[in-house]
Amino acid sequence: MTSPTSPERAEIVTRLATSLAELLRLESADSVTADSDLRKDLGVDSLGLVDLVTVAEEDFSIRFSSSTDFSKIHTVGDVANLIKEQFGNKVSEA
Amino acid sequence: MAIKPPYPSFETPETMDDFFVAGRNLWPDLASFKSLQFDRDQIPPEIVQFLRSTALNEHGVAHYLGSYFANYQSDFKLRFWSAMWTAEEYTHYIVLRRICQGMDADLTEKDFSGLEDGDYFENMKAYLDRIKVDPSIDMRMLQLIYGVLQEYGAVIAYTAAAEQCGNPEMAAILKRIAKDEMRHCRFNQVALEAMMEHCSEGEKSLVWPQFRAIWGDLEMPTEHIHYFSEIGATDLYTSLWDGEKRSKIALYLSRYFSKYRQYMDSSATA
Repeated sequence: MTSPTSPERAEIVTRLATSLAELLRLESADSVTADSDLRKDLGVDSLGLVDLVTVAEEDFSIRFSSSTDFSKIHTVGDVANLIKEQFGNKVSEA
Repeated sequence: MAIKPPYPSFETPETMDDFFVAGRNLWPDLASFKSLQFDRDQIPPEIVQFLRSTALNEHGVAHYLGSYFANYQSDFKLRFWSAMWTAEEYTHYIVLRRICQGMDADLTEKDFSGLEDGDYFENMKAYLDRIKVDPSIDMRMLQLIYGVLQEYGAVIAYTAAAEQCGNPEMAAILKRIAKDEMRHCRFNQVALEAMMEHCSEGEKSLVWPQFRAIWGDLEMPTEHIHYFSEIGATDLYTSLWDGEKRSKIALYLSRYFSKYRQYMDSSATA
């Protein structure tokens, strides 16, 4: 069995930025950075959270832990860290 | 686009029978709940308020029945489910009221004021009309999607109350209600999936956006119950949802409904 390899954080941020640009219908993903605040800068509300969860789990083939508290996540970088964390969990479970 | 009977919600009645039997078996000791005793001073005030207001809400679910009958049209199985479900929620009202009585916080006649108002059906109908993503969406589908969210929200609310009440006996009872609500959630899922087998791609494409529309506007109609305005409660099922609980609901529901996103995508590219 091959253990899943975690992409680099910068790559995760880039892929998240692309997904968010599509979800939020932004003209370009360039304005989305690791420091972008999901709520204040991008207007991600509880609906956006549902979309983000779905897209991120599909895109990265991960499952967020059931104890994940998204209310403590503020920036795109925070989401990237969480995704890195899930890859770590996958490796330890493999 | 609306799908009407003879498209069935279930091919056979066995599924309904299974849910019915499971529900009948869950509360064999209901009569003994009359002797429950709790020390109110040991129960957090917000839990006392939740138990009292949720007892009223469960009682009020019976008022959904007319609306559900109408939305399920001539689909007798779902109409039967409506009767079964509202009766089971009424059982929860009895359990919650016994708990309230057992901690000397019983509901009064005044608390029930508004429950019998005749405009409940209109409130529910207006709400469902407001959240429709497509005027032709089958009301059974809308109702089942709403049911999945509502019942899973109840699972989380009762689980949170069990965790926070500080009394093991009360916690065990609240967890039993949560288990019952999970069964209700599951029924709505099973019925929705059975109905989807007969739907066109276009009909299936409405599920994900309809789920999001309900999720973005999720609250129980409460304006007709005076007690709720007295205590400032406008959203009973969400009152005990902290960030982690809300995240858990978002995770569970987005995973469940995400299987329908593909139909939306294919519909958009068709």
